[in-house]
Amino acid sequence: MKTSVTAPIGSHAKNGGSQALPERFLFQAKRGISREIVEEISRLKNEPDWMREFRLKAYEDFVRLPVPTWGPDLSKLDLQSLTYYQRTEEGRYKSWDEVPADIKNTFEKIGVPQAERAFLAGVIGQYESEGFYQKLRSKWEDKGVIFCDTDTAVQKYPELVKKYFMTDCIKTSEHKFAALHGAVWSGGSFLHVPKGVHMDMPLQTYFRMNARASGQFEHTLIIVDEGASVQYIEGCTAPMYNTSSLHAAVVEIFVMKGARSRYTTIQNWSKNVYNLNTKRAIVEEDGIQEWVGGSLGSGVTMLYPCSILKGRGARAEHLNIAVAGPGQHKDTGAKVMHLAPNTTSNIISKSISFGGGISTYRGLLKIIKGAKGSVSHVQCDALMPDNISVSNTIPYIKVDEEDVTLGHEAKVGRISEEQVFYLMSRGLSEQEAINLVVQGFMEPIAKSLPLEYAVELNRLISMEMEGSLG
Amino acid sequence: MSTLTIKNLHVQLADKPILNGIDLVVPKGATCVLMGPNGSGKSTLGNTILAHPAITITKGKITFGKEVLSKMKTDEIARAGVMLAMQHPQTVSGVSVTNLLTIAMRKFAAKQKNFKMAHFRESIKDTAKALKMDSEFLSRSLNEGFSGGEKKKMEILQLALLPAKCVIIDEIDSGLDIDALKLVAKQISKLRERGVSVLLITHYNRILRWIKADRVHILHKGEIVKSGTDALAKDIEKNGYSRYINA
Repeated sequence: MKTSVTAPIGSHAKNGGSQALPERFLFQAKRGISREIVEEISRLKNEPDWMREFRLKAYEDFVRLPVPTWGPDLSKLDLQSLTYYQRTEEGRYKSWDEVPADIKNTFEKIGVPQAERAFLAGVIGQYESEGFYQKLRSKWEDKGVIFCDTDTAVQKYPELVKKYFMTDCIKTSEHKFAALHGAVWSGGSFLHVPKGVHMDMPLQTYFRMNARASGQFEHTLIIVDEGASVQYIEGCTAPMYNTSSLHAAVVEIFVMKGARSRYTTIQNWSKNVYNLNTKRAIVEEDGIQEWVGGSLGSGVTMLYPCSILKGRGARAEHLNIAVAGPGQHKDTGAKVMHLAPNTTSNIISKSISFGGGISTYRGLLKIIKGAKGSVSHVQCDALMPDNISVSNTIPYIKVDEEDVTLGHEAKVGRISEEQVFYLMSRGLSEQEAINLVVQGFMEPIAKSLPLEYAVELNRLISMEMEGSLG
Repeated sequence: MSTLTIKNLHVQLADKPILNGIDLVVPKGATCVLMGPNGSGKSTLGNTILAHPAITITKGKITFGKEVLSKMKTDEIARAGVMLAMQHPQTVSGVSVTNLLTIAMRKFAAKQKNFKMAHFRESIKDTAKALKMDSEFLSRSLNEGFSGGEKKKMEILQLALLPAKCVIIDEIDSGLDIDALKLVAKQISKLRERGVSVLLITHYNRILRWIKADRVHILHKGEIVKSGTDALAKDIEKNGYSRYINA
């Protein structure tokens, strides 16, 4: 199964995360967050006034809003101890040959240049706060596709960014981490697929946090114009330090009439990373948004991708797998708002808790009056191979329309002694038997991932669970 | 091929004695039948041979040729060639029989010369055809939503494809209609032609119409109360167990 594309999610170290490189910066902001830091980031990025003002307004929201307490414990996250911005490179490289050796090696280890050659339409690489590499095959450039890091987009496509950046989709006033993100955001991908363009190769971005006690706040903005389609994939890794880091990304996706977007993410942050993201798509008439997520690493994760089904016939597919091992708390789920008739949502959420890990499915499903003929199905499956782990399901459903079809299923499964015996009686070792049950459990999600990711996901989970059972 | 030998086997399940001094030999290439009323300990014996984790051997020994099965783990026993078709096969979501057999075969194939996975995949299909199983069963989640009969066929399919030397077949006849039973019996006969020894555990002797037993044993309350030939099975079919177990 191994191809030249080996480890797209950075699996070369156990226990989440991977090997650290010596830290390198051209510039590193002072620790902590303040109005001055926000202004300094904007100045260093040479941003237009409108973006600087946007950041400062977001900072005010950040100061005003409380840390959310309804989910996992965030009390140990010390926001003043983090470094919010670090630049490592002066410009953007267009060829891997130009990329400095240490960064290039990191990305080669996780298979990025190899994957780019093999099957990707375009790649962005981000190291610390900013993109350092970006490349889109000329075939797609010629069709008018824009794929660059979001800082570049602010400079080159200000009208598009102004229109869509934290305006209608996610607002900085929503919660403290959306506000913090608005104030200090840096990097991320900007993707615009023009009307009717069907991209049959995926685009991929890799985020790498290497510095200790830092924050990564990339902003990904995807606009899929009418009748267009795209598949965008993100991978995230960080090395293990004994100090905490924060990842508070925002992803905003606009799926126009009849368009189709698939957003896939695999995160394998190290276990001292707080992974607090806000991701949302607005889906217009007959548009389709698919969210495919694999959450392996990080200590605390809060992530509930949201689909706003705004146009008639819009559809959302949410597929998520969360793995919570020792010391990990995964609070993940899905939010879907049915705002128009004949809208459809299908949510499959799977979690594996082991070695004392906690995983919670937190869902919100809302169907407004008038969204007649809407259909929603939610399926939450949890697998717990031991007795010391925790799995919760917190589905919140609010339906104000009668003419709808709803389904909700929740199951908690264990790996039974009988099942392991059965598989061992065919010659598999105990660990292989357990791994196979786990793989089977994940199969509905794994089959939606690009092959290399699916293989890596299985491999990583096997490795994580090795020796933690029995 | 080797001889399966069970010597003075005492077994407990949840601290309750189930088998009380079993002596049983399945010579290489032979077919032995273990009969007995419900609750006599037949399935426990099958599970004990495969080292089921809930079972404790308190006394006695199980060997297969030079291998001491009673000291081995389930997977080691299977890899030694002793396999079990279960009475209640487990379901495994998201794993097809093709997945499972491919993974299992990789473990066995290390020992085999000229093994080709592509050929093996073909034989999976051929065996399914011989059992009149629709090919979709090969890619569906193993045993999930299968009928009793389909599960039984799936067990025989696996034993037929893995390099077994001695198979224990537990209540394969329950849940099978007469046509399915014939197909299953045919696969068992094929195993015998390959020199595989068979321990057939059954409550009824229906399947013995197609499979000739070399030896028949009757188990009752964890002990073998009677051993004989084919004629013993015929007698039980006619007269029931009562004259052997009420003695």
